[in-house]
Amino acid sequence: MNFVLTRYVLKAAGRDRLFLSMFLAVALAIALSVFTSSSAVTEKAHFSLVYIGGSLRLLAIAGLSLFVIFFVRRSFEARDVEYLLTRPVSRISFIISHMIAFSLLALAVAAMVAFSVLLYAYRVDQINMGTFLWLAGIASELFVMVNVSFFFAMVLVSPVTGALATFCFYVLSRLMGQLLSIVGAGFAQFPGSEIMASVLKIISMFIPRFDLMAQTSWLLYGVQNALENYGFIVAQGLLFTGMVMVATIIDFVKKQF
Amino acid sequence: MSTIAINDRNRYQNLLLLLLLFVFLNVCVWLYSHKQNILWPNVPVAPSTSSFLLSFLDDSSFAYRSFALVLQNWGNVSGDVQPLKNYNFKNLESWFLLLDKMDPQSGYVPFMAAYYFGATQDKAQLVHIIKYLEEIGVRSQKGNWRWLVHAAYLAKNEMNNPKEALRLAEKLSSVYNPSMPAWTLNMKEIIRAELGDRETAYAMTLEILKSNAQYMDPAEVNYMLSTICERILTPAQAKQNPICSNIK
Repeated sequence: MNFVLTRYVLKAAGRDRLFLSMFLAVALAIALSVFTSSSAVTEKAHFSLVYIGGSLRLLAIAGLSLFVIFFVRRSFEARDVEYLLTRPVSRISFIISHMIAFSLLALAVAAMVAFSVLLYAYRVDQINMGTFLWLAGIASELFVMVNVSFFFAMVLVSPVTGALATFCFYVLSRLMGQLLSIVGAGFAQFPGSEIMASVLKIISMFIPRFDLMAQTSWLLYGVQNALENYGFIVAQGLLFTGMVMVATIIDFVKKQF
Repeated sequence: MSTIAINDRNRYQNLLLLLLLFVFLNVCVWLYSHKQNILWPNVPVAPSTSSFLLSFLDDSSFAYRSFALVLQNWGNVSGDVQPLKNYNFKNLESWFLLLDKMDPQSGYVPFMAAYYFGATQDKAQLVHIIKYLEEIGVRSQKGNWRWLVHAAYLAKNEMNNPKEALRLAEKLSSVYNPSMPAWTLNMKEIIRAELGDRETAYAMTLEILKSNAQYMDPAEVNYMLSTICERILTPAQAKQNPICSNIK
């Protein structure tokens, strides 16, 4: 891996005002969440915490994915990628350095979310084991999503299709549990439904289960089997990112300039 | 003046005319649209659990909290607040049950059902509230028995149906819940005692507060206190009652 490349990406994030805009968006989301939940008759703190958790998660995913996709496509269009490859940097090192840089950005944004959620949860006396598990889940979700965004940005030529593919992937990952339940319950009764169910099961092998990784209910009621959930979060985050990394490297190694 | 300048001026005048034409057409559309008021669609039937969850990216807590607030403000459409008797309570019950599946531990929707929707002007609609409160009241979750007590209260005092109230009281005595005080076993006797509405309401509300306040949201405790002091007791009784000393 190449530390200079990693630093170059991190500097670009600073230049693009990623942290400043994320900070402002986070502050706005918290303010809106508290404002909206103030109209609840009871359980105001529960409402705020769920709104803060839910909105910050989507904000972090959208902010990071858009930055990664537009940064990578801009690098291709400005011929930065071609220039960097003329330096003593291998293609594998190029991909790994970028993935490490994006993962560090994901970690920084996860820290921002963690600080906000912990501060609010502490204020309303709602910190429990579930809060930390939820934060670990969010960090893992962001870690996977930045690398998936990087993969789509490398594979797809247009930033718009890259962003759409990333968001479709995210929605599918969040809904996979529900879709598998529908298949399992046999609700789909139309011609070809069995083939569709088989196809969905095959697709589900290559889609992470985000619905199991950071459940908002953990913020309110804690969690029973924390250790098992930590194991699942870490295993899924690392294994899926590993698969995405290899796929990105294969695509980039084969790419003609 | 050159030909090009004349052509430019003509083109500019044509564009201005075109703009005026579009302004006029938009005003024509407005003449129709400004009379179209938003109509209150009443409460629709709740969707299935799967489709509801799909629209919230499978985040059940977020779905619950989002729709619980919608439920609270359902009848408030563009400043026109609907009375509760206009609500479709059958459909409302389906929403209560759906939201219960999203977060069975929260007391928000039961609170809304018991104290807000339970105040409907059409007492026949309370059947749906009672059915819902009965379903969640039998669960062993701490403090949930109070919803069954409230269902019995609504049946006896609001619907004037002592038979239904006795059935619910019997159910309450058969429920096992470690947080239940001893008096809930004698609920049937309380109902049979034929106390007046105010006396029954006072006794039940006070007992729930005494035995269950630690499981309740502070806002719910305050609401129950103000119910006792402002609605159940007369102003003279409230003045003498020590629990009403902090109510402003």
